[in-house]
Amino acid sequence: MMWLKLGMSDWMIALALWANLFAVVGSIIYGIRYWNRDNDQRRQEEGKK
Amino acid sequence: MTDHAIILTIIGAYLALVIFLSFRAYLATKNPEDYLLAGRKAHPFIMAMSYGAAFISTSAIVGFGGMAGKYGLSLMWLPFMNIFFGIIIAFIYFGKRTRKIGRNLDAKTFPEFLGRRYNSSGLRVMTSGIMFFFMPLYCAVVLIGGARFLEKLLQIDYNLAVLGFGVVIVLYVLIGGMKGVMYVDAAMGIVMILGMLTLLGLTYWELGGIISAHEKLNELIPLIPPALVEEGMRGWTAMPALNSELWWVIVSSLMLGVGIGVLAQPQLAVRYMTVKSGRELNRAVLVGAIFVITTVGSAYLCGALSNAWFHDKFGMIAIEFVQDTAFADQAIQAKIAGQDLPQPPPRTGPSLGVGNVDLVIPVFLNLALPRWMMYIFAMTLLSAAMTTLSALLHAMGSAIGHDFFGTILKRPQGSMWLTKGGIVVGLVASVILAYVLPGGVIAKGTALFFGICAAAFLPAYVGALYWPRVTRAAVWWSMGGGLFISIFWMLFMHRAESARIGLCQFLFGRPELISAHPVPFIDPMFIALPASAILLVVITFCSRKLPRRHIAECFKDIKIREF
Repeated sequence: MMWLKLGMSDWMIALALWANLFAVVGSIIYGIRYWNRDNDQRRQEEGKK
Repeated sequence: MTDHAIILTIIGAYLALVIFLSFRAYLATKNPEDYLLAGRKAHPFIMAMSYGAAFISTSAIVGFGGMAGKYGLSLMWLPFMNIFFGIIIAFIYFGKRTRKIGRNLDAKTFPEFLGRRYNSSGLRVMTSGIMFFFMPLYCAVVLIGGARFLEKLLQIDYNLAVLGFGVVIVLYVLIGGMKGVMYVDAAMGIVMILGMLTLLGLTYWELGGIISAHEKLNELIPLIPPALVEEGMRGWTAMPALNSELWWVIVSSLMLGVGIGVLAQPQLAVRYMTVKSGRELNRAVLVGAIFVITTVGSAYLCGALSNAWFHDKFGMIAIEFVQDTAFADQAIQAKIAGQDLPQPPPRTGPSLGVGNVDLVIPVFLNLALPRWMMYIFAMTLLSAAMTTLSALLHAMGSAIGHDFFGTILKRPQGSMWLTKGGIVVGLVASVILAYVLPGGVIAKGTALFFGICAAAFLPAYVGALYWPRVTRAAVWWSMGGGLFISIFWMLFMHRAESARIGLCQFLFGRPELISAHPVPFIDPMFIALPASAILLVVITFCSRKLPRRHIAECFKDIKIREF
């Protein structure tokens, strides 16, 4: 489990590094999910016109 | 080809790209909406890159990177705050509503947004006045960051670097308007991402890998200067001691001041209104988060890791090395000439920890990395400075031209010429400040500006988006109160500014009014923002509502509860 500390001497700093990673991954997942959904919505709207 | 010639060629090619993009933007700019909001049709990639590039400046890379070099990786909480608040919360919860309400009110700038939302031209003037008064400070510290780098890279006079840099940027902002600014931001943003990732990779490689580099930092704990130990520092991979002076600086000024203050930055908020729908903002979240972590995260990691490198090569930590600027310059010259790095003169006694933090990153890069990396990094830093400065100058120009004089001269649509005049005046003010500000102020100046914007604007801005009940009187009290308390705290309570400015010493014979810990180390925003929010809420319930018809117009196509 010490690998979770990423070589830091303090768990709060290790937590900061992990928090950054999860924030970025979450943003990427959000962006990809909405990219596809918004494309579908846009195609539907253009189809109706 | 000499080193100097290569760098000048790269800079020349860079400027050619900027001129090309600005000219294309100039041809596509036909009216104030194009000049101020890129026609409200920016692509989400361009918008996100422009937002990120405007947000991340040399102050983040040079200033805060240098702070990480001095104080360690406790600063890594700041990139997390930047992503969580500055991208996710900003785009999803602030951006979408700002775009819709801005379109409903035909607002083209942040002061115009607040002024029209609260039906008050006076508020528009006050907002633009605050922006124009305080933005030159942030502009100046970004200029300093870029100029310090150019000073070391090209071995030119610092004052010349400040002036030349400023003139180049103002020219392309004047020519291209918001479209030019955003096209250049997107191009330079790509350079920034690639440059910072390369820098991080090379730094870890130089230090033998990720875990090895972190363990080397842990071994440096005995070298922490006694003065920093007293401030609360416990190591470059540890948080400062709880409730210590340094803990308050890191948490209240840097993490909260910049991390939350980003939400109320006028030059960033206006970018939400440049896209054509909320969908673009969803997509922009992905791009924005990647941009922030690769630029800011890399800068802080490299800043902290530079200590391990300086210790390996010279037997001292980064902040100690940059104390002797003459030796640092000598070492850089030797590196450029391809000679072995000289050894520093022997030093007696413990490190004082008083070196200029703004020199840590430039000196580290010049000495540690291969020369070809310096060329890439030169472009990266130039990009970071130019993108932020262009955003600030454009915002300042529109604040003074379109909003301030546009309202006073009863030209509610403003004029492009007034805006352009404002841009030039903004540059002059910033250059003068860059000449007179002392060293080591980049990070603190940035935190100050972010804090003032948060205290003055954030409660009113949140109210504008989510609380139809907020009254005009409440916003006046909130903005005025937030600003007054920020300035009062800076002048009389927060030692970092009050001791330096000296007014408290002059009037009361002491550097700050209350010396009891931790009061002198609490950032002004920590006090002013809650006070501003409380004023907004309390005065709202004591004052007259805005007309229902006006609120309905503001919130057209937006679901709101009856207020």
